[in-house]
Amino acid sequence: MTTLLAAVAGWMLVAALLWELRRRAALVADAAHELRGPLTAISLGTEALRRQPAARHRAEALATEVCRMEIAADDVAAAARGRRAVAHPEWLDFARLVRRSGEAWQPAAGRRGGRVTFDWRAGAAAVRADRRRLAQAFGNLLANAVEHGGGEIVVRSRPAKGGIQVEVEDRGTAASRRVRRAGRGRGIAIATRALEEAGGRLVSFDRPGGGRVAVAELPVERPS
Amino acid sequence: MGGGETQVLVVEDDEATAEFLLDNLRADGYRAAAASGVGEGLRAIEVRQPDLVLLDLLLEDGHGLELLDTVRSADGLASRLDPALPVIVLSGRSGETDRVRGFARGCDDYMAKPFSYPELHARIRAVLRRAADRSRRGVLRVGALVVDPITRRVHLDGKPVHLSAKEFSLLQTLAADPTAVFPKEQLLRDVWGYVSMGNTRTLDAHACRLRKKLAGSARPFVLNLRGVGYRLTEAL
Repeated sequence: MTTLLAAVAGWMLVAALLWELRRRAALVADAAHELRGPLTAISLGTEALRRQPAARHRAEALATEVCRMEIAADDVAAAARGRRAVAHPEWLDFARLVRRSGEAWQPAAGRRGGRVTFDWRAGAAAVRADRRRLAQAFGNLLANAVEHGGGEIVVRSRPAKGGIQVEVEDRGTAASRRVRRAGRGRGIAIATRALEEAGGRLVSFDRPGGGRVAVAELPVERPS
Repeated sequence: MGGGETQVLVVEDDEATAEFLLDNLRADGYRAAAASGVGEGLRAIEVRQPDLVLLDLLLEDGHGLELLDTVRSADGLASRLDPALPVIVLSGRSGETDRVRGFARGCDDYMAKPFSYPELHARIRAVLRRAADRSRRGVLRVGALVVDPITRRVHLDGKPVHLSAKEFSLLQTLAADPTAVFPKEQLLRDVWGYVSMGNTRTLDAHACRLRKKLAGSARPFVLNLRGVGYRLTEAL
């Protein structure tokens, strides 16, 4: 009798858990669906803004941030089914994408008394990847550098064997580094995963004299 | 950029999305207008006669596929709806089943939200190019009857109809203005090349065979107005 009661209680517990999982998945799917409408409007509005010469520069930077939102919305939708968003790889002008990501963070760096500067020595390089994933990777690296690095950011590129290296270097203080360590993980983990999906990798280390350097490495096709 | 006098109708109930879409389309030279529901969309199609429709699915008064069904089932006679009107669906649902359903109901292309405007613009141009090819070919469509003057193929309810050369010429002449009455004299001149009124029995015999070959559909074709001439069909 006791065994029977335990079996029934166990079955009820499993059923309740399954019901709860389904309920949560439906909530996540609904939220993902609700993101698509406003994102469409923002994306179209950004494109309309890009046509105005005075706003073009900012609008292009904004478009890169919209890319990040789009892949996040797709990830949320896929998460309801326990998956990641399906990648849509295309040939990309890598320098342009990274520069636009940097420009998107220029105002935030400016508010901290610094700026994002570019030292691009790798030349033209085409990368085959999902534009939104790379925007996500560099958006996170730059956000991390701006938030914890005191505003002075250098984005540097150089050719590497079979690929390209892009460094995002900040000048964070020891105090900001402690804060970063406390909250570290998510942004860098997302960037690492995004780069790995594009066939690359990410390493980071402390900069001598203060600050942090994140080095993204990706395989590239050079124009023939 | 590509629009010219091309008119695009946006059927979308989200005001911000519709407004920004219109901004971009107009900047690319299209004449663009918006409707927010199925009813308003159908009225706008009849009145404005757009070259292409961008169709959202979840609308304030119904589902976008209802609008698509009404357009595709139009016979081009009872209403001013062109059943071949190019339609691109813009949907918040991106699953394979949703896309397949959209294509099965007759959309020309399907884009999941959020989409990039440059990609949408490229697809608009591709769909319009295909539509222009069709119209250059001069394909005539009268209800379930489709006449292609280039390949000289005729389909009724999607099934091929085999016609002789003269039967095809007679049908092509009648289909150019499907509800107009063509006097026998005119048909003998245009189809047979007779300069004066000849024996109308040749015409009557061909018209009779053509009527029988087109008898499989719900709508009667090749109507004889005794003593006057023929017309392809009647308006509802």
